[in-house]
Amino acid sequence: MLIGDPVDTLMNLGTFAFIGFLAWVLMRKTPES
Amino acid sequence: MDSNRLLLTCSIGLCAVVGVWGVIDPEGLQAIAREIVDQYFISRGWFVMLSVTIMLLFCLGLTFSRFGDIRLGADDDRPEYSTPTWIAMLFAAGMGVGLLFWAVAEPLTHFAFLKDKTSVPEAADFALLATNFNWGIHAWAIYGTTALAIAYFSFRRGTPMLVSAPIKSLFPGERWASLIGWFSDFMAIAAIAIGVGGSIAMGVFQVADGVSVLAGTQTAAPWLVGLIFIVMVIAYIPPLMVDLSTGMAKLSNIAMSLAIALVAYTVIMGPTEFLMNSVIGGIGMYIADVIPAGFRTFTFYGDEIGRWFQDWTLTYMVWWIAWGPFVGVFVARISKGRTIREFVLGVLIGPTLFSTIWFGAFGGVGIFETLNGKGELLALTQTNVERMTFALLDRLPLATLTTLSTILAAFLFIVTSVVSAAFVLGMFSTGGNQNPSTKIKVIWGGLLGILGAAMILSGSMSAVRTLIALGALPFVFITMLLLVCLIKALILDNPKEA
Repeated sequence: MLIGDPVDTLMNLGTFAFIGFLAWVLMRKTPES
Repeated sequence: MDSNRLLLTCSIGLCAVVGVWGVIDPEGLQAIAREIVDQYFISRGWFVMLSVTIMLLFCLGLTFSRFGDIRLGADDDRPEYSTPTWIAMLFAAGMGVGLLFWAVAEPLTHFAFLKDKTSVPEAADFALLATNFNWGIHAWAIYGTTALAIAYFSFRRGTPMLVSAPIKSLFPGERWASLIGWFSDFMAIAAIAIGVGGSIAMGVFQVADGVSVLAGTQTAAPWLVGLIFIVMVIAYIPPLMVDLSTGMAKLSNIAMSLAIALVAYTVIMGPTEFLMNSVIGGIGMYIADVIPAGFRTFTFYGDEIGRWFQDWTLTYMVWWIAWGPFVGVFVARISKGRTIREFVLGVLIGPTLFSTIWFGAFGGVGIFETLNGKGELLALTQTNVERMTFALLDRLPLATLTTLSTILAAFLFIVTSVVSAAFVLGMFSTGGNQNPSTKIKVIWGGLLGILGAAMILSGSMSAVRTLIALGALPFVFITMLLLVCLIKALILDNPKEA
């Protein structure tokens, strides 16, 4: 089987979500923009 | 309770818990720290390497962009310190005692590990490359990014010098930004306190070994380690009670001058031609491989090499990240008036050049002794890594003098680190107050001492490094957030002229 360790997978999913969050911060309108 | 007081209470509380736990049950603390760090490194090593490489590319990109001309400060501000003093100060803050400690030990430990896996010349080349990488431009890109974000927001947007300032400044009044900001300040305090605690432990081990070498004993007795720890605490408490900003610069300069004298002495008295070849070869290999090495994760090389990569390169990277907020605030403060281009080039190139010379010379002399001597230094990497620097000096003339200088430099690096760390911690835990009260500074000085004691009691360098890595883990994310905030502010504040 090629299924990965669930804890590793979860931690990586968290990291992907964080990368998404960074993109959101970059794109989000601020009061100045 | 207002959020500053809550921050102060929570952060002091967390450090006290870690410190007391480390004193009561050092093995338990180390085992748990090890497990968390291992899990993190195994699952997200790629993200650490990607993050530090992005920070480096970002810093380099800034120097070539239109943002490079922006001054950190008002447009008519000029630098307070001359460039050499500035580089000496940031170097002393950023690397300090570790450099003395690992000078011979790290290249030779890599060499001992690699020589059975490849040919001897390749192992030597790669040992130097790995050491140069761990202490090189990526570390300074981490510091540079953190410092730039804090300096830019503080000097151009008038925010307090806090890790939370960029996110709060961009999204004022938004609840999620305040929450993340609070958590960032809290984690910054924890990372600094645990990092500096580890540094105290490392410095005490180093000084104790130096003293026992002078006394002619085999290992540093526990009472000697304890005594040196007490002397160090007594030495750093009084400076906390007075303002020492210029004195700090002087102490850093003395410590750096001692380090420069030490490397010059080793090159001149040692096998000069061999060492110069080692330095130049090391610089060349480093330049050729610096960017690819930043992406390397050794995933196809099996468990043993994977473990080595985690224990060294990954641990170092999160270690620099842990020091990021502390060094960042310090570097931000001393860099006012420089342009972003000057700042980045100075921060990245000056210290990296020095550390490649340093490790080229000390690593070179260790490898020389292995190839041409009895290989005693190499054997020492397995038995008493703390003693490596002194063992090397013992093989050169005037060993007593150079050993004393090294002890003095280690002592000064530690005292300056603790004093400035207590200052920065006081600042962070009181909402960015530029002049924290003596009481707060002394409380932090005391807590740093307890954390240092906890790490000394944990008994080994690997335990110390695991604990530092543990404190640093959340900061991988926070530093990336700072970088994104900085990009956003640069674009918002400096629109392209039509």
